Amino acid sequence: MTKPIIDIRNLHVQYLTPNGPAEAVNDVSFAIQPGEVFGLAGESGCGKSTIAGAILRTLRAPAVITGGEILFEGRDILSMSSDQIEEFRWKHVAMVFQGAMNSLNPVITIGSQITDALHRHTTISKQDAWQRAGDLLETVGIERDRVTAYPHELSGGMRQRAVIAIAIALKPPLLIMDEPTTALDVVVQRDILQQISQLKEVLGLSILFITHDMSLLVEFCDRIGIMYGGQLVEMAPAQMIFKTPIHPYTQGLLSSFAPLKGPKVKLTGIPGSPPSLINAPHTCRFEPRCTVCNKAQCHDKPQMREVLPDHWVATHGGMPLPEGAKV
Amino acid sequence: MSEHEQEAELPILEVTNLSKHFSLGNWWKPAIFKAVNDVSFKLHKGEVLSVVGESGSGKSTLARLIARLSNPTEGRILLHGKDILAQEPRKASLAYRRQVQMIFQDPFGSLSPTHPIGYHIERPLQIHKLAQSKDLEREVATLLETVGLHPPADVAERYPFQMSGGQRQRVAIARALAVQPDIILADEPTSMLDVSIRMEVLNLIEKLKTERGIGFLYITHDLASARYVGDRTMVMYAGNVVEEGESCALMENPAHPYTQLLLASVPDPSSGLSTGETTAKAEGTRKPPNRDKGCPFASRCPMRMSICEEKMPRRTSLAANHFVRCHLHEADPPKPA
Repeated sequence: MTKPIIDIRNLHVQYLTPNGPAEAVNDVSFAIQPGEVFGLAGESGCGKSTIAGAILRTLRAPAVITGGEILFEGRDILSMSSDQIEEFRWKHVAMVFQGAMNSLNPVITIGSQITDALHRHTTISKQDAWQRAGDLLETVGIERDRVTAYPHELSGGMRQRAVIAIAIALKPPLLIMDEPTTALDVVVQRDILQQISQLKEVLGLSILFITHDMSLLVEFCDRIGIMYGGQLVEMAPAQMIFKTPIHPYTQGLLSSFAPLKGPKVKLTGIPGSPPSLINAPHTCRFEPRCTVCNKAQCHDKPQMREVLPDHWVATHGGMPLPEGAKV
Repeated sequence: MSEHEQEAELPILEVTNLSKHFSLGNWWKPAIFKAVNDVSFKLHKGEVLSVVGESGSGKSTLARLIARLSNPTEGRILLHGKDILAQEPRKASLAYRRQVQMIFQDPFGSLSPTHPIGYHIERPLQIHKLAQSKDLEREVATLLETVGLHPPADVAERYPFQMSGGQRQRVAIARALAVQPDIILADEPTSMLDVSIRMEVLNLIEKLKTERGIGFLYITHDLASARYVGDRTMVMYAGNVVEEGESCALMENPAHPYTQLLLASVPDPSSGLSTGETTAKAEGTRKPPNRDKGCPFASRCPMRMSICEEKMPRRTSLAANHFVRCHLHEADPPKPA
């Protein structure tokens, strides 16, 4: 096995609230290999974006990283000094934020927002920087002469592309995308995803892709991790998760999406609502909404185990496993 | 084409040639934006009609016109066969508002934060004089039960901030149901909800349709849910209805290039990303196409012919209840240029 580009081990993040600490990320471990697209899925408040924040060390109080380590090519991000992290961000890991179209500065041209990043992190001449800004826009499918455009002159999809151009300006090996296409139309969404997968091939990017849209994830990612209530509950290659989901939550999540083909079947979704993370139990957090497992055995602490080759599930005694699974 | 069985029955709502034009520009450079242009459809008892299209295609404006939140530029709205715009030209009557209810997209913004849930449901009952004050509490409880909020007495005392998005959207549905409407206009009721909760709201729509015979206009940009809950689907592009048909049949055999593009763009887990090569341009122009003549989709259409720039295609019937507005499907198709 090759050395992973990023290796997250037993990460814990808490939000300190007046009612007690909320465990937004609880003992999450996963690794992303070079050139891999790793998807993180789950409903709002399950801790997906908090993990992204932890990798970039952009979490601020009341969020506190209370344990674990994040190794980027072997270096621990969590123990870096603030100077080191400054130098590390963008050059090694860049991020495309949720609602990225609105993360551009409205009173500065697209070109100067790109050159800004270049000047901050490299010693590039002014002329070269603008040249490079034009190149970057072309890579993401925007005409070169739009460097002088202001964000409001671009459509939502183009702004999203511009943000991706800024993110890849310093050729970071890892790109984090937090719901990059949620606010866009399906047609534009497909177009941008095709662009991203081309970029991935050309630049050899690894991508951490965060979204709640399961069908999009399965189509776009190599491997998927499913999160629920701050914990990683299942992790497997995309097609495996889609075809043989094991955790009851993953099954519920997949049955929340209506298919476009075939006969109409009644879907149920997942009854109930997501758990509160304050003083969350250490037993299976999905238990109150679960209709699958044997309730008598739900009170063991779930353990992340490789039940099928490369298919990891947080299981406990009461969870039914498919045939051929390692018990 | 033979008359479909349903055609014999009088539809609850019939909309003909409905348009809403907004004036843009200024005195010396006037311009018109056609948000909704020449839309006609029928909605029957116990039927869900899905309206799909990208943002800015006029879906929500259409719902607002039918709810009489704004007045159309031209066209007719027939409710139970009565021409509403002729009878009540300025403002909708109380009776109309009782029959046509609306559910909004954002359950976080559509409930007043200063009043408990019970109040939100009592108000329509009082305004429309549908319940005596001694029966109010019981009525509210029944309504909350109907939308699956338990226990009703407890829920009625809660404030919106104490409830999740899915629960709030159900309160909004209960409020719409309070006045026993014939039609509910649901404007993207699930887009602000968490994925796991969306299905509950869709199944509730399904249940109300069958049990109470309410007609729904379900507006969405999610084609899969349009197919799941909608008996028929209407595809809108730049204010125009470009295709309409039975949901399953339409998504099986999309006739309009825009519908084909939309369907090809929906993520499909069973195939990889590469298979979805789209032929039409994702973003043709920065401004919405809004020309006086020709097909609005012409600039993005991969099958464009010279006639498309000249003339707006007519409604062509492909099969029973399947219409398309595209020159490709007209009776005497002109040769591609």
